[in-house]
Amino acid sequence: MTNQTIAPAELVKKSPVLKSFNTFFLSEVLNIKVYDKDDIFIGYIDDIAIDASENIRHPYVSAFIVRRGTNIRAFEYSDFIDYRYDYFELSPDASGLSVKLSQEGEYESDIEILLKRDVLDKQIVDTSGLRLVRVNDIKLTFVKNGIVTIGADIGPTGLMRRLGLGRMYKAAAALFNKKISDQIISWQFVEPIGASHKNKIKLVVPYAKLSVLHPADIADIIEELSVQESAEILKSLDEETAAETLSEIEEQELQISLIESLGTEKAADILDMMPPDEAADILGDLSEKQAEEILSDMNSQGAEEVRELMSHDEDTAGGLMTTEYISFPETFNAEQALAEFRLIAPNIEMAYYLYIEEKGGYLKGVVTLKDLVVARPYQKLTEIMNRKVAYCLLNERREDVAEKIARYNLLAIPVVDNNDVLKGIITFDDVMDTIIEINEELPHFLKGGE
Amino acid sequence: MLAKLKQKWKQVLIFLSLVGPGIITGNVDNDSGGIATYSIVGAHYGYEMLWTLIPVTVLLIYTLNASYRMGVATGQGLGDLIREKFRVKGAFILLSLVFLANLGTTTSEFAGIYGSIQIAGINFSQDFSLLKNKAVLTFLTYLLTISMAIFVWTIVVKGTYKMVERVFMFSCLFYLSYVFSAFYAKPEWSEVWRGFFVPTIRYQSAYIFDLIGVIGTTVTPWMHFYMHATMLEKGITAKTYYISKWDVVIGSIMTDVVAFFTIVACGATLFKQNIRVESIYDIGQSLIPVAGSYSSLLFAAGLFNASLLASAVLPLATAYAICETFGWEIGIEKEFNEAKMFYSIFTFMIITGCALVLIPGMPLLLIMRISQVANGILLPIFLFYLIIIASDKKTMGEFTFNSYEKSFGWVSTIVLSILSIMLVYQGLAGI
Repeated sequence: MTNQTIAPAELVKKSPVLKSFNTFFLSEVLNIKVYDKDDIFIGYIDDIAIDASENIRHPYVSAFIVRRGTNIRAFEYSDFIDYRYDYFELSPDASGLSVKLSQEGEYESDIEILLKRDVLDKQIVDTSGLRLVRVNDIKLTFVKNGIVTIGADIGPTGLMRRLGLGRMYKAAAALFNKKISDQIISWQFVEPIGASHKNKIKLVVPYAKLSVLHPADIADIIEELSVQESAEILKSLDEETAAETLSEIEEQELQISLIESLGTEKAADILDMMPPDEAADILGDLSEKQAEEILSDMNSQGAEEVRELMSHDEDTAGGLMTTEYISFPETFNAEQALAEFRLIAPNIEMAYYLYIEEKGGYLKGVVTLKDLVVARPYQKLTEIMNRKVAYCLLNERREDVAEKIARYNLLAIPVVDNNDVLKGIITFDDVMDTIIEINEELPHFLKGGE
Repeated sequence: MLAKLKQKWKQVLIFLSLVGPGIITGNVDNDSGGIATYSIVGAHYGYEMLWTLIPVTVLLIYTLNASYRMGVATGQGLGDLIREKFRVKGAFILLSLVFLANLGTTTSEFAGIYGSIQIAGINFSQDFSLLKNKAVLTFLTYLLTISMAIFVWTIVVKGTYKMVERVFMFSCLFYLSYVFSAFYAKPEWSEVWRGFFVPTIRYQSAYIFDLIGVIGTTVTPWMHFYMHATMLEKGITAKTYYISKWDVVIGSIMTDVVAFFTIVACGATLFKQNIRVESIYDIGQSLIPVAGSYSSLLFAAGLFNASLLASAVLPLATAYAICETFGWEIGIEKEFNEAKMFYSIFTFMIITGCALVLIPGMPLLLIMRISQVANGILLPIFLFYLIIIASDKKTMGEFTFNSYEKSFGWVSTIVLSILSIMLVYQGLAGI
């Protein structure tokens, strides 16, 4: 190999900066050329090391292994000033990391895992030894101060990419109107077994045990997996966890396709466990026929509430509200109310406001949980309640609801029909997005992510 | 003394329990393509090509042993090792070639099934006048061939294949008929031994074609995948390797003993009587010394049996190898939806193999021979992969090839490559 020098200036026009692409695949950067600040060729990217010693879900890339012939060097993230699709450039003060070589002259490290050597093309087995899949590629992403591993690509797109047919495959799929997505197993679930035993990679959690994790965690993973796999995971969870997981998923499209692939019966069981407003939201996006099928499989009372909610426009108070709230008849005293509260509150999401209903369901006033607890047992609810209740009507627009909640500093607002009959409540978090949008004065950190 | 005897006895027992991926594979190796190729060689060249069996046997022991050692050293399948060493592109190239070669071989197995049914039909036509009608005969042959395809598909999918395998293994006794036929035909044994020990090479494309055919039908890539999977299933480990390596040696020698007697039988009958083999039917006459007028029936039975076993093994081994390499669900015990690729490959091969044979006017014998030659041309490429993996210290540990073994492999690869290039260069003219 001679001392190749290519002026990167000529390449700049052609090759996009990799950093501006959030994610990339291992196969896309392997064998990329590395130049130093004087445009002298240093070598090719041979492998990527990640630090496995720290127990984090998505470990950081600790080094890029650069090889030129038998000469092996390692550079960390900050040593590069430019990541591009056809070359990486080192910064002027890049010193490189100290490299330990094995007897055969290969890079060696006790605490690091090499993605190409130890993970790429290996088999993944779940803890029960079943499900044979292979790591076709590895997905990584640039974050603020480094690069982290997202997960292992086990799908056909990865395979095609490795064969250099990735684009063709996607084009062909588009031609047949078939949507294909990468099948990624989140890194937190794959555990490369130590360096001595590098034949197989274990899926740390068997599908059956995924439920031990918090639903929000499971939702995070599911968002990165294929719909099929996610559906499989959801099926393996108990209904309550599955319901929570489903409502933690942020992409609505994904929620819907999951429900579709679960099958009517399972979907109905899971939706039964969800707060009615969320169930209504999801069902509202399905076709009428599908929604009706699922509704008829749900338990009758729940289905009734969901139907009621679905009849309202999604962007009005009626569409936003949930029918799960706590209300007491005006005849109750504090002691009776507390006893009743203990019975029903565990299943209610929003249990701070307790509404007082007149006969016929008319909204009369509100008591906070604090009011109730500090009241003397024999005091009538009507004595301690607040009569000036902020409320909204069924057809009120989302923005107006949000504004009211924000103005009065409420955690939830009751919804009544034209006859003042209490129909449901809307909680703060159901309209939070809208609140943030309309309230320009909110501190910066509340305005959501970048 | 007694203790020593006891130990010997124990070793024999262990050996028997591990019999024998090598022996089973060796048996399956004598499939329709094998019978056709060996018979033609005997019929066309007499005993002249017998000598090739010596280097071929050595090569077979060598490659199967390499595959055995890989399994023992890593506990991984051959597909695993190829994928991990040669990555996606390298694995894709090899597996595509293996797939094509195996598809050809599967077709040749169905040619064997079709041919043997046809021979039986012609035979029975003397007793059943209905069969004298050509249309009826053809229709029945078609029907039976298709039912055999369905039968093969079913036994594999239903998982009863392993059981069936054992039944088939017994029927390998059929090959004994060649041994008897060879003896009854009373060949000039001095000529036989001269052909066996003195190499004769002719620089004719037909000769090279048949030479590559003999090599290709004996040392096939698919049998390595098959044996490798079988041995992993049996749980052979480094501890028992010292015994089970003999399994490979015995299996390989058995294969070529059958090949030897097939060639001798055909040489002593067909070659001597100057019968030019034009179709499968002609080969049956080589068994006249042992079966007389029943010779063609006996031949049909043997061919049928060998073809049927291999027609199940080949698609199975291919689907297994491809799915293992690319990380697709494998499983006979799984539902179609869970192992789509596995079932698709398997089913595709059986349907294609069967359908090609049913095209009217298909030259069955030529299909059998060409598919073996295709395997022979593929062999040096396969050897290249095999040697690279077996020489990799990181993978193989104490089982790594030493420098002699490596050089033997490379020399064989070069010789085989030269033969293949010569064949292609001379064109396929003059077959």
